[in-house]
Amino acid sequence: MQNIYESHILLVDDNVQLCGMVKGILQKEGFGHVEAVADCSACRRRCETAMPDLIILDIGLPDGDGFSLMNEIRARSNVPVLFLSARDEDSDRLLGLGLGADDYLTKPFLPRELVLRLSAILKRTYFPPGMQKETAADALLLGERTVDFGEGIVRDSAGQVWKLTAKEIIILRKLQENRGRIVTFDTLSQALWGDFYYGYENSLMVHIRRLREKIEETPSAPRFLTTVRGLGYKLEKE
Amino acid sequence: MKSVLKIYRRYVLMACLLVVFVVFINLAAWIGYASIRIFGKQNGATNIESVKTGRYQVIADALVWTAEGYRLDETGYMILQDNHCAFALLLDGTGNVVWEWQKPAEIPERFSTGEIGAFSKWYLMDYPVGVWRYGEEGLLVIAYPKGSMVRYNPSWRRDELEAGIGYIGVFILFNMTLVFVLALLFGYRFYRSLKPVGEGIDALAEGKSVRLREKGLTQYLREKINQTSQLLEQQQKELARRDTARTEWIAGVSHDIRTPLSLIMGYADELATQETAQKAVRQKAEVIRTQSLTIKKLIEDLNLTSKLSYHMQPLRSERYVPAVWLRRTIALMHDGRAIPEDCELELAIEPKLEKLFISGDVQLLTRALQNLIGNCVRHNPGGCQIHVKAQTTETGFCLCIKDNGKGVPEKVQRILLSDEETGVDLSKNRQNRKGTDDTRTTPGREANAPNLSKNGQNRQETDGTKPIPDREAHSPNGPLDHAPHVMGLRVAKQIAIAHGGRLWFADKGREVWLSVETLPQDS
Repeated sequence: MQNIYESHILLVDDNVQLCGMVKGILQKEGFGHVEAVADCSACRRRCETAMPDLIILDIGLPDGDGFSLMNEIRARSNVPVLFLSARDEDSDRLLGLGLGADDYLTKPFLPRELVLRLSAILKRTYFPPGMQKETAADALLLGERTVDFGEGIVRDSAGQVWKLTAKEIIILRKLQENRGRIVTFDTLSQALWGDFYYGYENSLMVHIRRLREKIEETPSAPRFLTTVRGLGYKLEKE
Repeated sequence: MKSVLKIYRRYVLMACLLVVFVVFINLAAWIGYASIRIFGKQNGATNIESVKTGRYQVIADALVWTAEGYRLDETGYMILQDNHCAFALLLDGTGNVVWEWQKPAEIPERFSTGEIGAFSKWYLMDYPVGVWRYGEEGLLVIAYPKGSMVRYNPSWRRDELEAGIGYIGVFILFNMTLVFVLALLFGYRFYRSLKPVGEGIDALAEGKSVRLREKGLTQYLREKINQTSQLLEQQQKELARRDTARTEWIAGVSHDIRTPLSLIMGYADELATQETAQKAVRQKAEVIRTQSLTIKKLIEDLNLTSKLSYHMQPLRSERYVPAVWLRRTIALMHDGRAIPEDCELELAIEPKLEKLFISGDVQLLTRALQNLIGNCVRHNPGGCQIHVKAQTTETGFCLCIKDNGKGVPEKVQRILLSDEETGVDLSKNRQNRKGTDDTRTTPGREANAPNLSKNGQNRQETDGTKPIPDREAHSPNGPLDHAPHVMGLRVAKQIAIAHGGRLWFADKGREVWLSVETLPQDS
């Protein structure tokens, strides 16, 4: 398997229309091998023939329940399983995840959410971060400037170099992990100083200011490292 | 139980007071009687004491020796008649009758010394008599009708009489102690008999079932308490059965809706993002998708509100820092596009709140906050500024979600307000689940909630805010009759109540306040 789109996905749901819709959604996203079965026995037969790369499992099935089926599957294989069910009780969710499911999505669901969750599971399972190229993970492009985490420096296109402190690297790593999303003061402070971070807000602000001087063209009007008032900071996408 | 003990104490006290009262009354009556006896002779009372002490002397004086013999003047006769005397005699030194008045025939003319000694102490042929010394040797004898008096000549030893007076105090004290002890014993018996009845009433008040042994003094009461308990049990079972049926029905319906809604949402999404489709079709599909999301949220809220109403939503209490939770939740709402571009959301956290570390169901609280912010967004489709303010209270914190738009409509406020007028006490929910009686929450909440006076009425009058007390119920038409924003607010309110807090409005619905208290931690 070269990429996640080559995965064999097995959908187990007794609602034929829903199966058709999910297949359509996944195929539209590029997943070429999506198969649907309507009950537990069909799923068992399919798994005996060849284990799929991911199973989307409903709980209420005509000849059994998804939890028992999940148990059977887990006894034989570590194939990732995503529960897709109308049952939204916490107890069901906890049971499903407790049995070793990789995710639990309740109906009704957003098609995009299903695709994102499914992609994340496949990436995590078959293409973990260690398998990706080191350079891609260790470099961060911010306009004309590049952050080299390996060397702990920021370099611009003219060759000018700024050295990053250990704290600045931690901040940048955290922001990079959540690029495009808000990272709260608490998350950053915890990454920098551990659980007992109360009272370090000013120190964090100082670190952010110094970091902006290194990664931003105009630190007073930051383009990448922006402040979200009252909440935290965000590393904007290109 | 305290009340029964109080009854017992009162009973003993009353018994003692009763004794004191009776003794006092007796004493008063005796004094009164003695006074009449003492002062009676002064106004001519006709008793033997007065005759002895006064009239005998007068009669003796009125009886004089004349040449014709002894003669009694008019005054003497008058006294004898007034005192209803039977007869009168005068004996000389040898016992011979020398004068008589109305002497019956059976009375002899002469008396021996022995006879004189006997009748002077007792009776003269059954006539009660009184005697008075007349001159040197004579004896005046006044007799009263037979059976009109009882003669009694007591005599005591002097030392015994003197000691007896001292014993009166001891006697009274002993009697009082005896009455007290008896009252205590009888009262205790009564208390023991009443105690299970009191315990039964207490248990009934706490909603527990009661089975008392139907015997003894309070048998009838016990029977009635047992009957009441059975009736209440039956009603509770019936209510629980109805509540469970309703919740399960809602859960079932919402479960069955989910799969069809998935199809609607899925295909609407496909159509909305299909580039080959016509623009108008895409727009319509977008509307279907948005409305499907609203239905999805409505189903979730309906399920949650039903569970919270009927105490079927377990609280997963965990320790959390409200300030951190607030920032994380709002950041996630930003990232999840829950806040549209045209809405500005500001968060202001009181510095003191940064240090607060309390317990609560974070998942439910997140839902409440999302509902409240989502409410502002929904009410202002053209965009608005939303300001979330958080500050500490005595035992928790409170949030103010304010927007510069339309605010919560008066009708919605009224619906939520009417909820608590007929509602079920949700604060019991928390107690039942946690087994605690968190009575300390109310003062703290009142004392710290900004712009709050001690009662809702005053608050409404003074600054126009509308308090929502800790009660919840469904509106008469049922929750589905109202728009999703009512459901969202109701859920937020229920979550606040489940956390010992409340929800209320201010500034014509533009401010929604939510207070939250710390929950006992899961063991």
